[in-house]
Formats: sequence, C-alpha cells, structure tokens
Amino acid sequence: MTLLPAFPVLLLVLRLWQLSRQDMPTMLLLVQYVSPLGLLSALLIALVWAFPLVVLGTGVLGSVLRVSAPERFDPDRSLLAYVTARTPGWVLAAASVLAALTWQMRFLPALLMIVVWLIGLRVRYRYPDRADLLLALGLVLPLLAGLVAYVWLAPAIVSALRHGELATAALLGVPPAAAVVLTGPLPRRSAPLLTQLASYLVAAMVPLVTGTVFLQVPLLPAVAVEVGPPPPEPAVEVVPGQAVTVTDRMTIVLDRSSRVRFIPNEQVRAQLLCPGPERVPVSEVTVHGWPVEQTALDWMMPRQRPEPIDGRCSGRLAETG
Amino acid sequence: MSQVSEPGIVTPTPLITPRRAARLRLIRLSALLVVLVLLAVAVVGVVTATGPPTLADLRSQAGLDGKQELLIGVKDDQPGVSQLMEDGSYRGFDIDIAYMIAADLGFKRRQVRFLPIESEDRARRQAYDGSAFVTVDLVIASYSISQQRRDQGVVFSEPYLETEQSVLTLSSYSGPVNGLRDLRGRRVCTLATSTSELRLREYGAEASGKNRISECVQALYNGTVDAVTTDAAILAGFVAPLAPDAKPKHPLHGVKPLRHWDIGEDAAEKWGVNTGPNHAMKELVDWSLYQAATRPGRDAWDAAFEANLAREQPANGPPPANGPQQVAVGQQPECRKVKVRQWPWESMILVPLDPARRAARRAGRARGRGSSGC
Repeated sequence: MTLLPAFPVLLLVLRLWQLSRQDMPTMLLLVQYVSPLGLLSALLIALVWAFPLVVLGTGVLGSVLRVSAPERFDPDRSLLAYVTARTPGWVLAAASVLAALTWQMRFLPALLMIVVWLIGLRVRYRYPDRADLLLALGLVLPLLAGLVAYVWLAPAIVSALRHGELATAALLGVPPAAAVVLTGPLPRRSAPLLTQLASYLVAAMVPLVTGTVFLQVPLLPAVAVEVGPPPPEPAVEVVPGQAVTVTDRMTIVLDRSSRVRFIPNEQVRAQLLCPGPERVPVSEVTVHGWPVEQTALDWMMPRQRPEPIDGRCSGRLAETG
Repeated sequence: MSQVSEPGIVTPTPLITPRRAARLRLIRLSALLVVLVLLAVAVVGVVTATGPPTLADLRSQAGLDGKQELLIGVKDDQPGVSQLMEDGSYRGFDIDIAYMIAADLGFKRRQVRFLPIESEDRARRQAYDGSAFVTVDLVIASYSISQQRRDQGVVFSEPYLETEQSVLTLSSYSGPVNGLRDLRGRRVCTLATSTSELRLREYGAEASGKNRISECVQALYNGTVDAVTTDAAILAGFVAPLAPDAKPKHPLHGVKPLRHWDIGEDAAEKWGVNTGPNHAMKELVDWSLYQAATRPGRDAWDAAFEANLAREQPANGPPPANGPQQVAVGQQPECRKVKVRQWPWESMILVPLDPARRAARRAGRARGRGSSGC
C-alpha cells in the first residue's frame, strides 16, 4: 500500500521517457518545461475510470466471498476481506456514479450488472431472513433492470451483430442477463479460490492497462508552426509537432520525429492548434445516437464545432502554388 | 429463481433442501465463469480492435504529410476532358475530378500542379515539367482500365467514368461507319498504346498510333487519315463547339465539320486513376470516389459531368446532328466501399459549394440526373 503513490509518478516519468523517444537530453528538457500540474491533470483525466473499476471490482469480489464462504472471510488475514469490510456503502455508490459518467457506453451494461450484483449480495448479507427484500432486490430488481436494458439496447445489439462486432454485441447483451443469475452465493469451496484468483488478476491487469492507456494520452498540445521571414516574404517551412514552451527568445517544438526544434520567435509567422492524436472510434454502433465508445461525459458535454483540418497541420505551406 | 428460496448465510427456516441449494450454487458458479470468460474475451476484443485506418493514417502512409504540392499527370489536348488553356490553366472533366480527389487528399486547388502526360508515359507516371521528367503522384488522363494494363503493373483506382469506343470522321466522309469492320483498309488514327489501337488491328484497319489525340484530329482535318477512333468522351469534345471563353494553348488548324459515329461496341471503357504502387494512395482515391458517389451533398462528380461532358451531348446528339453517340454514361460508375475510421461528426462536414458547381447542381436536378451510388 505504501508503494501505491509511486505508481502515478512512475507513469509520469515513463510517459515523458516515451515522449522523448528514449532520448535523455530531450527528456530532461521536457521535465524542465512540462508543468507537473498539467501532467497530473492528464493522468487524472485519462485514468479516472480506473478508480471505480478497482472499488467496484473489489467490492463485488469481497461480497461474493462474504456471502458464499463467511468462515473464510477474515478481514485480519485477507486484504480483499479487509477492504470489503471497511468500504462504506456511499463509497460504492459514488464509485458507481463516477463509473456511469466515465466508462464508455459499451461498458455500462457491465456496470449495471456489477451494481445489481452488489446490491443483491449486500442485501443477502445484511438481511438474510428478509424474504421480501431478497425477492425485491435479489430477483425483481435484476429482472426489471435487465428488461429495461434489453429494451433500450436491442437496436444497438442488432446493429453490432450486423456490423460483425461480436465483442460489442457481447458487452451489450451478456451483462443484463447475467445480472439476473449472479445475485447469490457460490459453492463454499470454490468461492475463496475464485475470488482470490480474480482479485490477483485485477491487481495485475489494472496497472498494466492504465499504464498502456496513459502512454497514449497527449501531454503537449499538437501545433503547427509556420516558419519564415516576416511577410510579405513567403513562409519557408511548416513544423508540425507538439509545443513544449515559448520563451522570450525561442519557441520550442517537439516535431513529429521527436526532435526538439528551437525556433527564434522572430521567425515564427503563425502558430495554430491541430487535432490531437486522439483515438478515432473503431465501432460504428450507437445506442440511440450515443456512440458506444463515448462516455456519458463525452456525450453530454458540448463539443467544438467540427471544422476542416488546416493543411498546415500536415506540414504543408498555406501559400504554395 | 434461486434468490427467493435459497437460504442466505443465516437463514433460520430454509425453504429448500441443502442439496438443492448446493446445486444452485454450482449452476451460479458455472454461469459466472461463462460470463467472466465471455466478457474478458469481449473486453480484450474491443480494447485491441484497431479497425480500418483513419484518413490521417492513410495520408501519412501515402507520403502526403509534408508534401507541398500534389503532382497530377493529365492530358492537355482533349477538349471537355482535359485541355491546357492559353493562360496555363487546365479545363475539363478529368481536371474537375482531379481537384475533387486532391481536396479529399488534403490539397487545396492552388496546391495541385498539373503536368501534361503522354499516353505511353501514363503507365510509368512520367510527365515532363518543362525541364525534366518527373514521377507524378496520380495519373488522371482518360486512362481506360484493362486487365492487360493491370498485368503490366498499373494500379488503377475504381472507375470514375464509363464511356465506349467510337469513330470520328469528317462530315463529308462517304460511307457509313457502323462498326470497326467498316474501317477495314482505311487509314485510321488513334492513341498509341491505347485499347482502341489493339481493336483496330483486329479488324484489319490501317492503324497509326500517335501520342496525342489532337494530332490524330489534325491529321483528319489535313486529310492524311480517314478516321479517328478512341473513347467517345474524348472525341465528343472535338465535335462540340468550344466554350465561348475557352482559348486553348494548342488550337487545331483548318477546322472542318466532323461526324461522330456510334460503332455499336458493347465493351465499356472505364476510366480509372493510376495511383501508383502505394496501397494507401489507392485507398484514398477510392475513398474519394466512394464519397462522391454516396455521401449526400457531395455533388462534385455531377457538377464535373454537367459542366464538361453533358454540355457536349447536343452536338453529338441524334441526326441531323452527328450522332446519336452518347458522350459518356451520366452516372458515376459503381465503386467499392472503402472503410475509413472517422469521428462520427466528421461526416457532417460538407464541402462548400462554389457558384459554378451550384449552377451545375441545379441543372443536374432539373434533368433528373444523379449519381448511381455504390
């Protein structure tokens, strides 16, 4: 646990190392100019989805263990049991809301499954003798939730199958049904083994996936700098790349081959923002107009009006010909 | 159903037998394992899926990043198709298609440089830029797609125009020309290395191949050949009167009335773009043609056809004019769907219409003509 804060720092250093293409002087220059606040913001925005994944994943696994094999649920000996026993309900609720906002649409059915599963298991643990509650939250709720989910997702599932996107179809179609089946205990003998294995797997995979995701996140703004003598003389060159900083003498740009370019400010004729290397969606499936690869936040927040990309972002002079 | 009847952890009065409860737990375990495996496979599937390339990927792979101008090899002596004017500009259907493709490749009109290319150089994409031969990026020069050319290594895009072979004679020519066999023993001029030349020889005509079709038509005016044969879309431009403001750089001399003969050839001549060996470039050109055919609001193809080829049809129309010979099919040929990964809102960006295209679009609507789609 004490090493946990070191992980983000390691990620940040790795990201800069990768950005400099493993060139130490370039990395040192980036360290000098890149703002730690900017780095942390990028880290937070890129990995905000991981927090609910860890909280909810741990909560579900611990609850399964607690309901299935209570004699093996020992908070003093098992980290999983310890975390589950000490995680208050409101943290789980907050994590669920955060996940609903920050997980891509295609993972929301899985979130629904986890939440319904968690509710069923907690009710079983807290009110084992309340048949009415068990019926309402252990059976009726998953059934209703599954039904509503299928009514809402049906066109998207059909569309995914039509486009040959089986993985998307499975992500949309399997969890609502699974939610109905899963809200109960597992065999006493296999539950500890399964939950331990799953928790180890999550512990191993989450840093790997978050690291991979973070290494693709842009840290510096993508720009194109038009270089040349002052007008009316024509521009000589366009340098597309990432803006490191602007000092009182130089504009420092990391070009596409990760070379650092120091351009005297008097030679900078124009500078423009270019589209970043964001990941263009792969899936063509939408749920009532909501692309499955967008989070609720992406979908709800206003987006910049689309404009044709300036040719200078491809390194092309504006005044050729 | 197990949730209702199965006992929890401390159930005082079990509603089902322990054996049944154990069986339900086992079933649940199996279901859980299946669901976990399915979801794990699905998550790995969607996270690692790369999908088709983006436009930026294709442009980068095609070597267009950082490229200051796009070199396109075109014909310079074919009225209505591609003709060099006195002021150095080019006009014609091929030119408009070239601008359309260039725009989709990310080049503005002023970043496109046309270079005249001879027929024999189209396969190798060699054009003369005034001082030396250079390899152009694309060849859009009334270049018919044929298997023989493909076998020689030419990489064609999807077709952008469909026409047929026809014959041009002086109006004073005596005999009817209902087929190439009517030209047996006649002096017939055509483009060297063209598909027409091969067919002429099959029919026993005295074929002479030239690198420029204007030389053939000039020879027809001069009386040194009896007929000229090549694609109808090329010949129709010589039959139709020039646009009032057109001042070709290489005007023909001794112009006489011409007659355009439909020779009943059923083999379609489909023109394609020689994109060179770079696969990404071919994908980009095909994507541009596919967009022109399918995306609502994209009417560049229609505008190009209306402004250049449809204009020539009356002069090539039914008797007592010189026809009837269709200039070209007024619908964009069918083309392959090219998948490109885009942001969902990118499809909303429409190319702004200029006044000429707007007028052509209105004319197209009035005639009820539209592209076929793919």
